[in-house]
Amino acid sequence: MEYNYDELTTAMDLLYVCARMIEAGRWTVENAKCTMHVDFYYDIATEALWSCCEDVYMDCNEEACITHYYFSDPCMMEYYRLCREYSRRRGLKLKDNPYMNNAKQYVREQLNGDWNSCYILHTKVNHRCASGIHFMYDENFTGEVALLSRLLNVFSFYQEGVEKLKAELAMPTALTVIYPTVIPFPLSYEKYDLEAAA
Amino acid sequence: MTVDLAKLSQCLRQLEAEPDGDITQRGINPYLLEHVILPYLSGEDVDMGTLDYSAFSPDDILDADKEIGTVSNGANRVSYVMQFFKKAPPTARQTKAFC
Repeated sequence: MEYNYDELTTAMDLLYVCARMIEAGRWTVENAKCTMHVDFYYDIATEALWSCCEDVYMDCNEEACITHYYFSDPCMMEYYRLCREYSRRRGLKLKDNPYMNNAKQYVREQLNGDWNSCYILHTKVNHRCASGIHFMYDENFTGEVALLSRLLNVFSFYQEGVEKLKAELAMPTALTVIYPTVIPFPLSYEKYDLEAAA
Repeated sequence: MTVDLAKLSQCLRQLEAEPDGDITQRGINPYLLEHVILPYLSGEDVDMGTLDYSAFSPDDILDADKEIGTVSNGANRVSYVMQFFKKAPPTARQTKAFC
């Protein structure tokens, strides 16, 4: 029996989108209710992009043929808020914070490298959606499914990063272990009531 | 160019069968093969909302894609060769084949 394989791999991309979205908890099986056919490729890929995180904004510059997306999620905001807490407690500048640098590196690995697109990573926390990814692509861009997969990886990274940061921030630092009680200057040790302070 | 189909048939019979061209022998996730790939190739509609997503992972889909690509390339090569035979006009025998 002769099979036509030409459209099968494109159709399988649709199933891949559904499987990734269900695995990430962004969709239920009900959201995936659609015939697996290449005609629905763009619709499903676009719908998945709009659902891959909590906040998604889109704009299109028709004159320049550039599409702009902005993706943000509470886990990303929480990650960068915790990064600042980490820096404050460790006395580190943000640029020297390993968690900030790890996130920057991971996002670069996931989103860099396509000739027809680029991105800007925002890491502020002063208002809702202050942290986010501004992703832009031109009319020759065809990597919607790959973009979706990489964005899901990025937000999964931030979710895991939040848990790691919370665990690390919950641990006592070296100073609190060695000096459990801070004696205020200029009282001497004998005059300071340790029981009252505790 | 003339093609002797009798000789060609004899040569092909002497070759060993290659399992690579059979999509069911490529190690693809059995659920994907039975409920997605084979029905799709047979022209049936596959509703993605009725599938059991615990029976396969996204990586299984990527692996299946690679295998489908390999089989598809082989099928395209065979189809390309077949075009020569389809375009070749029949020629009459120069000698009597009976009496």
